[in-house]
Amino acid sequence: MHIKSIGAGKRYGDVWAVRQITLTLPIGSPLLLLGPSGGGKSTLLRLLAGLEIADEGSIQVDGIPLPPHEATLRDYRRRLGFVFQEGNLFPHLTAEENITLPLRYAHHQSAAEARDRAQSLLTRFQLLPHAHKKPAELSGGQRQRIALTRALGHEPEILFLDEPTSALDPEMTAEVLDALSDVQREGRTLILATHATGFARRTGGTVAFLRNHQLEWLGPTAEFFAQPPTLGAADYLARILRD
Amino acid sequence: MKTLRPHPLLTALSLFLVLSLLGGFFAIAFQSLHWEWRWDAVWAYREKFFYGWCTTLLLGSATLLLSIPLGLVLATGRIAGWLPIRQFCTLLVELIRGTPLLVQILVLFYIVGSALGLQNRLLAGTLILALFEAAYFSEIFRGAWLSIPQSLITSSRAIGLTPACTFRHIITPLGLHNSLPALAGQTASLLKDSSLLSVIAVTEVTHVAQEINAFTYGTLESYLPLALAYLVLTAPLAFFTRRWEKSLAYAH
Repeated sequence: MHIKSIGAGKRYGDVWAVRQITLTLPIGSPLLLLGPSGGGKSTLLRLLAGLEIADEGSIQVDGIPLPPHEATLRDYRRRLGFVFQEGNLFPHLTAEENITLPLRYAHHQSAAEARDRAQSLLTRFQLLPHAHKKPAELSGGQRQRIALTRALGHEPEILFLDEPTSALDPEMTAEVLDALSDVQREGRTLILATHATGFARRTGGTVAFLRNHQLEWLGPTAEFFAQPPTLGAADYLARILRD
Repeated sequence: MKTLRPHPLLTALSLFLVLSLLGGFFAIAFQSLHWEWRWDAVWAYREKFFYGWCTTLLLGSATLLLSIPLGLVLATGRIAGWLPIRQFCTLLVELIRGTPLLVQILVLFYIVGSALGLQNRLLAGTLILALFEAAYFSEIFRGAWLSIPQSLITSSRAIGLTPACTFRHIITPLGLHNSLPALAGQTASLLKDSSLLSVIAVTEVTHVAQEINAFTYGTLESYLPLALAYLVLTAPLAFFTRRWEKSLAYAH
């Protein structure tokens, strides 16, 4: 699946959250969305994943612009995986039910198929002992790993992650990032908005640096960290590496 | 939320204390009245009373069955409807909630009912009460719906669920959990509200008690059993709802 953003932008009321973003999603290598908070990372991620409709330009999937119809966007989203900062899991369902719900009702698997799939994923991420717990009984790190597991249930081509560790303490962050490295190694495309620079640096791939609602720089991750390419990037890195 | 469960003996002792305080208060109040109890006169009407109680139960059940779906429709109309539908539902709900049930019963039965040729008092009463309760239920449903965090709706869209699936698997169970205490309270109110239908001579239990009082002059002997008759219906309701609530709990 080839995804391109062609001059795409999104506006909330009179305020543009992002403007004129032109980029092509890499295939098989990660894209890291970096930049100061409020710079438009989340919005760009939602635009690319078909959770928002562009107010200017377009998002093209295999050369065809995404239409502004919820049903078509839904079919597109079903081919993707998504993990948010928090509030991913449904509080009234167990970990396993959270994973089987989309398999059964968005991907039309039988109850038995969905359960088998959920159990094999839970086993892989060492979460099987927590299969029958509700989110409130799990730690923040466990919840995010379950969310990651759920996003992988239907073997999505691309996985979008919106600051998945920002609400976690360092220990839980490490736990989630380890699981994420594991997912990355199997060659799935990750599109990740994050402040975890250590992880970003190790991950490689491409950096899209967003600042003031625009794409300020796009290029190889190693280059971004070796020599901050713009004044804004230097400022951003100095700020987040200080602590 | 977990509350500490006190020792059963302590619970029993405390309950005994509370009951004797309440009982004592009422015993003294009744004592000072010097009422001459005459249960034999009202006892003769026991079958009529039971018949009235059954009517209340039937009336209440039918009203509940009608008003819950109607309340859902009104709540959906207010949240998701097309502008005129939204305005219609809002106006209807506010009109019903803002005026006395007594007036609604009289106007709807004697004016609207007559115009439509609806003369069956029990049926008309049920419909009027169902409309009234639906307005209250709709506000409970609307509140429950709006209490669901937007992040869960986004999450549901992200995993590719259709709006219908989201409603069925996310909004309904979470909303039910949030609104169960209010729903139980409203159901108890519904049973008691049905007593006002006595004004259009529906022979429910309150109407029967009024008649017995008129025949026997045994005011307390007519109305105290009436209170008990409602309590027999509402107390199990509270009890079973609490148990259901526990089975739906997800936060610890």
